Amino acid sequence: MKKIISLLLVLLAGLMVTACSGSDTKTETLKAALLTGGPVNDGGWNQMAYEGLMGLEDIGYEVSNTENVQQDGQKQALQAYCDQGYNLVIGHGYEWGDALTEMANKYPDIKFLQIGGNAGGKVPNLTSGEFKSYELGYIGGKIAAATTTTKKFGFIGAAKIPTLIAEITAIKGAIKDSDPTITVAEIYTGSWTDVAAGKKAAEQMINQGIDTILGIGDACDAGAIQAIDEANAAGKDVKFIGWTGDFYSAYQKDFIVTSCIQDVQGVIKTIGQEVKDDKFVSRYWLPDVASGMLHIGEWSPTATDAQKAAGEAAVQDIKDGKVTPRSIFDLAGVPASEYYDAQELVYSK
Amino acid sequence: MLNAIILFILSGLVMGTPLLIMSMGGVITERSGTLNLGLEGTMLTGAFFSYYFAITTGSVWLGLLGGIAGGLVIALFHGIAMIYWNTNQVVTAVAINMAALGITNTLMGKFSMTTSAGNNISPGFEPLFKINLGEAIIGVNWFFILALIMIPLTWFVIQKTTIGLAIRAVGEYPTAAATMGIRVRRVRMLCFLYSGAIAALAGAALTIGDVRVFVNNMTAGKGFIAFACIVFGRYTAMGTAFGALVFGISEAFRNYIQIFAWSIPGGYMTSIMIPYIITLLLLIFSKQGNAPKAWAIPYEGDDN
Repeated sequence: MKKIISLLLVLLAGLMVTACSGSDTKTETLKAALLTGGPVNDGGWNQMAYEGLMGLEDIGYEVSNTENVQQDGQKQALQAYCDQGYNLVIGHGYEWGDALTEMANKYPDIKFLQIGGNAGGKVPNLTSGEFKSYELGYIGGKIAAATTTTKKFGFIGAAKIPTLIAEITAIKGAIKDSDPTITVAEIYTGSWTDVAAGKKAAEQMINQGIDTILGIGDACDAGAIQAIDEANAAGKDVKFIGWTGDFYSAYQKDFIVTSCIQDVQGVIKTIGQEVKDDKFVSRYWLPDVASGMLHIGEWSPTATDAQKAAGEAAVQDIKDGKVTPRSIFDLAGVPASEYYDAQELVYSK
Repeated sequence: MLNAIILFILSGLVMGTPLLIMSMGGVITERSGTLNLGLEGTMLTGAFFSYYFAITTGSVWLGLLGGIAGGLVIALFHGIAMIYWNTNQVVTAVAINMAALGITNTLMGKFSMTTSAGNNISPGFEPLFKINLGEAIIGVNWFFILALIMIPLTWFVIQKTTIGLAIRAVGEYPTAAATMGIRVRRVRMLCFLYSGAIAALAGAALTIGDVRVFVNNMTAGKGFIAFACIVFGRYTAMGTAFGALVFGISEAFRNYIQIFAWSIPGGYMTSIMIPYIITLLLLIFSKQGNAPKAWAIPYEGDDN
């Protein structure tokens, strides 16, 4: 038995040697890798990046991805791609900042992209694209204010992470700006995957008279949509506003007024093209409404003119510079300890 | 006010449905002397296959059967390894849970049932009836009724029937049971398959009985909570059910705190952890023990 095992081990070692030597050969094809903290079929944030990666195939990249990477496994996962000579390595999310910076220092020839963070611009080969999602929050809030008739708005989130705080603060600010009498309730489910928790949160909101819900919780959103569907079948009239992805086109449910879209695919394609054309510039990039990376998605056929007008006016106002939504984190003097409870948003008008 | 209280308790009970169903299955396995930490993975498998078969066949009942079949397959592997091959029960369960997570994730990707804005919606069970409380509406489906029926039924089977006696015997003193002609491994295996089927049913209650989508890792630790409920309930049906209901209600409480913006010490962080804090407190302050004497000990003797 021992002999067989040692024989197997030798064989395995042999295989590993050949596998390693295989990757040493340099090829002309560009290679891009995506690493995500969650599964790429999460129906949200990670899946958008995956679709973006697939988009790189169209411009001649050979692509690969690793999903469900935990924080303590990030460096190892990045290292694996660096060793294989990938040209563009993408870490998807705020949490990838430190690991990407370290790897970018170690491998100056490889280009790195962080999406949804601010690590870029400090190392010559690391760019980060962080959406000005508070601009999108302003638009979402304006649409929500034009949607609710009971004057009760509900927000369902997964966890109070910095990006999400900036978004909800902007949403609340825009709602208050439109109509100060609208109340805003917030529920955080504490999980990005617990669909049932999202559904129950929405049900309880509806039972308290809330008639417009905006969800930023990946899987939780699917639960909220199901809850609204059932409530509407029972005679309620509740609307949903999507976030990040295009929810109306995905679900084809009339109660989904529209979605506030972050074009993750666009960001990946832009950087992919830069690397391909050898025009990559390290920077802390803020994709925004003006550049079209943030926009309103498909409208429900039952969306009212007032809703559309509110949304389009908000987009135009931002583009024209009439309104400049700012992140709560840009406000000088907000101590970190108060991020969680920060309520006010200042618009420079 | 009364309406509000009834609404609160009722939504908590409905929220606890999958947990309640699963823990009622789990308690049978634990009583037969097998440690079942694989409830999480089995539930996830049941959730996935019920969703998958409901979508592909268009029938919720075939979906339900498919889900249970999926759960049974996982439980079969898990059970044979633990009960017949005497593998380490904790390590085997860890492996099973990881395998279930990986398999469902891979299949979900393979069948490409997701888009970047959400997953395909499957057919689902409609609520049997709706309870109107003022403005509020609560839909009750048959999973909830089933969960309620399972509480006394499980108690009755364990305490008052010959089958229950055999289950308790192999859990307490398998060698003695064997001398009485009870096939220890077979009884344990059947109990294990039963709890596997029930955990898969609870998974189906989550997908086709509730949210109608499948998301990776959507069980989010419910299998382990169910196990905690069983330990808290001192391995009895009634105690376990009480634990599951408390957890369900504390989940509803979490949402209430946030909707009404009640201020609590620790704010947001405490509010999202409320169900887990309550579960932990229950475990700490409840009287521990009462585990079956041969619990988590593989049966080494001969089977007649």
